[in-house]
Amino acid sequence: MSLLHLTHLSKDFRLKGSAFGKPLVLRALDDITLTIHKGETLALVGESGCGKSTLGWIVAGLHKATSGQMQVNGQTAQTGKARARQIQIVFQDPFGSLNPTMTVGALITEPILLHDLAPRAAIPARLDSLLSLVGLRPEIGRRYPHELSGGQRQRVALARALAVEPELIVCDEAVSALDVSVQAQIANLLQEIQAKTGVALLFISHGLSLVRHISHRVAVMYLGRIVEEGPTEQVFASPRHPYTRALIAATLEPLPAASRPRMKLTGEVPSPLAPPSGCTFRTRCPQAQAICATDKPPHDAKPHAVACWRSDDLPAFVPTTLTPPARMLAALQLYRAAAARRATEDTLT
Amino acid sequence: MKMQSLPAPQTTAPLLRVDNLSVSFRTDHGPLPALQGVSLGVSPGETLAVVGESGSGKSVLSLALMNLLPPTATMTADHLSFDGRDLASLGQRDKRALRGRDMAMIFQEPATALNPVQRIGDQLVEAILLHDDMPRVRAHTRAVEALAATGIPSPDVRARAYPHQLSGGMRQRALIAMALIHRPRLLIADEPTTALDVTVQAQILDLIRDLAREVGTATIFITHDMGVVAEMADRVAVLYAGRMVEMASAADLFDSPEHPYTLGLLGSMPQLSQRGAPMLPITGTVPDPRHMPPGCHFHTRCPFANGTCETVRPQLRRLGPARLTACHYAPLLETLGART
Repeated sequence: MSLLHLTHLSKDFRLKGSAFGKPLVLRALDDITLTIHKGETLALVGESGCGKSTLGWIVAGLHKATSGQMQVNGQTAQTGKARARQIQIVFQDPFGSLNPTMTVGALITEPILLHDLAPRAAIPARLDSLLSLVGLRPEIGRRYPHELSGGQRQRVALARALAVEPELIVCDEAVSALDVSVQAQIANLLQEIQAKTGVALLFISHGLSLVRHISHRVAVMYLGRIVEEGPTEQVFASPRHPYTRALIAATLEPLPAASRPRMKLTGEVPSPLAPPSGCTFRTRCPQAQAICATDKPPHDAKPHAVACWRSDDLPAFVPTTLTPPARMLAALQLYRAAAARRATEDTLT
Repeated sequence: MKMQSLPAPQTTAPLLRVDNLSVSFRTDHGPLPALQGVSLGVSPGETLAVVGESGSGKSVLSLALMNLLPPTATMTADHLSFDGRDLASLGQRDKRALRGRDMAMIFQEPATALNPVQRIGDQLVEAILLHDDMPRVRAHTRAVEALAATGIPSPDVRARAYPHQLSGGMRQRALIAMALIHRPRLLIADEPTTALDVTVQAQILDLIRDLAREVGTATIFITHDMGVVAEMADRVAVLYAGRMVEMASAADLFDSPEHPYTLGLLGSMPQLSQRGAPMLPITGTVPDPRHMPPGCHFHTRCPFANGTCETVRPQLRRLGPARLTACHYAPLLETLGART
């Protein structure tokens, strides 16, 4: 069932130009059509400046789209408080998004009071269950954000988002600033919470390996457009867009001998103020031909969709083969078993 | 790729060597130990990765080696030498002469490491003239060449730009150009690609690797990303809570990781997890350096920890010709495999 549906959504930012010329218009999102189903994780990937955060902010109601439609549960999306009740957002830096003068308990219960979701007497019990849902001990409720580690703060931000029992949470690079082990903790937690509550996630990230691990579907963005979209395993196993291939090739694998395709992108993302004509990726695309410079490639309407003139003529994709050595696997196996035993003894951080 | 051409670790004389390095910071709450008893060396042309998470002491290590610690820090070492010269005996002037010319550093945040009110080219010219005497015009030509070498498009235009006019990737490349301008013999790179997109990361790692290959630069690469380690390192030192817990050639480390913390770092990589199954993160957080747990510092987060680990601190033990691990269980598979 579709939870969120975006149709031909675009977003322009007007920048101050010179005093006499007309104002500069930066097209941050260009004709985005996208669906998020109930209870699924859709990942948005792409390089900085591709518009993935802008899209997340529009979904969460923090920006207004310039044109296009947004539907939630088949109806035109509401605004303000009503939208916040359905869709919440968690940011990259929880230190910047949590009021430093409020206790964790007050931060988490504020949305419940604001939306009048529970009688005051029921608040303490609700707080305890939210804290335990994100893996925090009850006494954390009396602490202040500065007393917490980065991972704990991100758990608090998540609990605050979950407090209104939303249908969708936008995770805007929510794990990118954390240490790798904490990233894995939070990613596991997101999957756990999704299994328990059925919340859908819009997971915005530039880390492809994590996206591959936790998302059901993935949309790849370049310069404000979705260039490829489909079921995560299909996109990673047989990417149809040269840009997706380049992103996958540039991802480092934690094994020295992993053979990976050596396709490297050169140059930088062009300025969105003066995007190239036709396909915006053509200036960096090893497959570009004349048509790419003149006509915008349309999206094909397949479940695994691509916007590329050359997608049928690309060379065969060689996926990265990752075969961990036997001893490493055995050691990880031991670690996994021991960690599972410990986890049953103590589940809270 | 990396695997075939591994130099035999530690057979050549190290360019930089440090023994038993400790650093602590003076604070209002008493001394704060940041590094304890770290010994390592790096040889010409070799890349040593120093791996650990926040609070592991890896950035303090790089600042200590560069002699850039703040005045609140106290540093002790049994031995610290560069190219056979005892760094402790050098005066400030000699140290400054080394730093920037023979020893260079790339910081994680190019935005804060560059002067915001000076053009990129002028900052490079300043770095050149600090160590080389030449006309300013020639220095400028060299600055533009250095920018071009890092793959910056239209380097002559970028040289006239201020840092805020460049993208993050370009700023990082400008910083790399500055670090490499005197072809340093030792390069310390502190998470130089953490803030960058993967495509830019790939370009910058290539650049640093080419330099090690062409100029024979010894590189200390500080990172928390096992993917970067696999891509770059000849040898790896794993730090946890200010101590070295494992040291091995990259081939050995990935073939059979020994320390549970190393396993935890690998288990946190989504690529090494089963699809659909949860990842295998290290539980909890790095302990507060003021309240280090007794025994093994990692025992509070280690799934294997037992009574001994809670009371007795494991010393670094030699497991092979160039392998060290500080764990009571080492060798892990043999010890635990025999038990089950």
